[in-house]
Amino acid sequence: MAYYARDDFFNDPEILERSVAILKGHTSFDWMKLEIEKVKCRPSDPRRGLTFQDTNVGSYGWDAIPEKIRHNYSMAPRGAVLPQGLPHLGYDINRKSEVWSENAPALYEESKSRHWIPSRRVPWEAVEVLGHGDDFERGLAQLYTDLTMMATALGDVPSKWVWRINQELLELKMWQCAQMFDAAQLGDVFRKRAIAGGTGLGRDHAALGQLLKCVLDSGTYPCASVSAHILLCGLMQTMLRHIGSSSANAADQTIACFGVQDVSRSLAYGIGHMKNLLTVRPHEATSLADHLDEVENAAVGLMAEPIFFSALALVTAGSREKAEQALPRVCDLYRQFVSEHQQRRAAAGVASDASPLTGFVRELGA
Amino acid sequence: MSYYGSTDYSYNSDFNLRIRDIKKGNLDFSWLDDARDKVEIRRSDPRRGLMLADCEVGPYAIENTPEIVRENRGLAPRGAILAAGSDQPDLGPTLNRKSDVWGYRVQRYWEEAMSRQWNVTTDVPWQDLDKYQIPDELEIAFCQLCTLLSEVEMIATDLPAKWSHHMNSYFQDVKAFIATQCIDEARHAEVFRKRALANGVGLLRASVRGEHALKGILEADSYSEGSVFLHVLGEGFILTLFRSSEFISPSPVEQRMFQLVMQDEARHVSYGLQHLKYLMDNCEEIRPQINGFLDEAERHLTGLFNPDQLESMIVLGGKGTSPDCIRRGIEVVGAFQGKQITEYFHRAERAGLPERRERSPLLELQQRMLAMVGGG
Repeated sequence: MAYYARDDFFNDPEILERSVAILKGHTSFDWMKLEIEKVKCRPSDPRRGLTFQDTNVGSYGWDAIPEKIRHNYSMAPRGAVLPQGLPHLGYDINRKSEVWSENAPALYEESKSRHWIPSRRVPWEAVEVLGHGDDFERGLAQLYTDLTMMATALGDVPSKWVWRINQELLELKMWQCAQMFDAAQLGDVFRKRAIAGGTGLGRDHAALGQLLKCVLDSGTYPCASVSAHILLCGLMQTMLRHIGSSSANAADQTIACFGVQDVSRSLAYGIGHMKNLLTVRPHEATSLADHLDEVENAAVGLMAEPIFFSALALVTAGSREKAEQALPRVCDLYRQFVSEHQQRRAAAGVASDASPLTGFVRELGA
Repeated sequence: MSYYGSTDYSYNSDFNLRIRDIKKGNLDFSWLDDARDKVEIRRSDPRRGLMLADCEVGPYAIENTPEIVRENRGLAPRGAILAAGSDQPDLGPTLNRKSDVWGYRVQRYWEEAMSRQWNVTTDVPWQDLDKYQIPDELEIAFCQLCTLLSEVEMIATDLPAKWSHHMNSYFQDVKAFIATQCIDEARHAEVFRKRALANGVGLLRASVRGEHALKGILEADSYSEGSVFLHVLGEGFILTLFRSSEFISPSPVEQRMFQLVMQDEARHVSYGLQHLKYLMDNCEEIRPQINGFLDEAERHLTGLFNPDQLESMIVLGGKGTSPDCIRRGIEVVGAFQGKQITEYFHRAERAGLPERRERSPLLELQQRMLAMVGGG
């Protein structure tokens, strides 16, 4: 046991006597007389139900969260009456701008309403009769193996940080739980798809490991957020779109469709988070952009990695024999990704003139 | 930044050669030639779709995974062909023993969680709240209960999240299940919060002693200790509380809420039991440590029985504050508290810890209280 409460409540005669008194009918009901802000939050649009936006009122709402949270380090829900003696639960992320994005509550609601079930929504019968060759399948399986690892990292980022975030930022924490769930779902469907195709999972490789380690070992939450949500999710979105358009298999198209939907939510959060952070703390733009440049360096390593590049070429061409002819299309795909990524960086306020990805695609085109 | 990739590609001559190779169209397909043998995967029950259990073959199966995973230090899924040891970046997983995290039936719980997701926003009939006239004292009591429940539910997201990213990626099934628990519990905190804010009152008083119990869970030394405290003890007690919803719900809207949260909570308790059982079956030497931990955890847990909660439950159980209602409420609460303890011991026994019944301080406390209440 790591934590021993200062007071031994278990052997406190006063507490025992109070409980016994209540059970004998000597109630005080003092909690009934507390002065609280009374609210009646009802669905503003009955078709949508009671959303978090409907509960964003008064002291209960997220608009009331101060930038620096000093008053509550416990798990007491925001807006509750805080009695004396609440313990510190060890939260060390207590600034709203560190994690908050105005779209987080809506993204949480969207995540719940767009839930899908990999085991049933994917037409797995289409994987039992593939309709394409072994090499193409191995190329797909390699990309799905990479995507499985990316999804695992995407779930590990919120897992690493959420329990350190102050409970006042409740909707944000819930959104991070939705991210963990989405990532687990994606990891499940990618792995199942790779195995079910018959050729099985592909290879783990160092270049991808380096990229994921850069993301996961980011020193602060904003650094982790910008690298996971803007860069990694952007790359996953590109890969999934490409798989969806390259494979004629209905299962791949379904996975791509749902996958893009899920990672796009995290992309939207990442941009919203950066915008909000840099509105409050504009001086952080330089260090975040520097960090993203460093993670981009690892992404360049992945994109030029022979196994990653050749798997993309194979899937683009449809067969090993024609893969060489597909190189210009893979380069176009990279250019498209980098162009979208740079637009997102600019929208988020973390643009950079020294972006390694921009340099890389320029070099490829030279 | 705490990690810089091993290669700076802007100053790397090998990399420039690689780009030249790409531009020339020299593709390396050696990875195609040393791939795994083919496997045939079929849905065992097409109505259920492709389940994890259907993919449990050869190198992909957990039963073919050693108790201690040494070879995978990255994020490779179970069954992938690993990069050569020296090439593989170490992502530092610290939970690398199967018995550290595994539970019987965890794959089934994962699939079940996926298929039983629900939505607080739309699945609770919020518009029906206007149909029922809930007396003020019951509404306030229910809001006090909701305050406690939304306070405690988030521990069941924070504790699993705290450990999930430390788990070896070969145990993806457990990580995935834990992610479902996180979203389930977020939903529980959401439903009790929304309910407290929906009907003219609001959130009431947080619990100091309850918070100390939550801190005890969050600061457990190991995942297994945290799990046994959270899943078996804490969520077990909450599950029994949810099961008494018939008595404590002021209207069918709240009954619906409890029905929905109960199915999730039962799954979490089951995982905790199956993890504890797996641990006891495979790691007998940890028994004294778990018992020692529970001795203290059970003391912490009594923090949840604070006066505010006890009184609000009495009002809800007795449906009012008149002397008759209070008498009836005390009977309801007494019965359900006894049930919480009985069911906990029953669960501990099923998980392979029958000694809890003899060893636990809970029984002694209960008997002391009964004697004091009965003594007049």
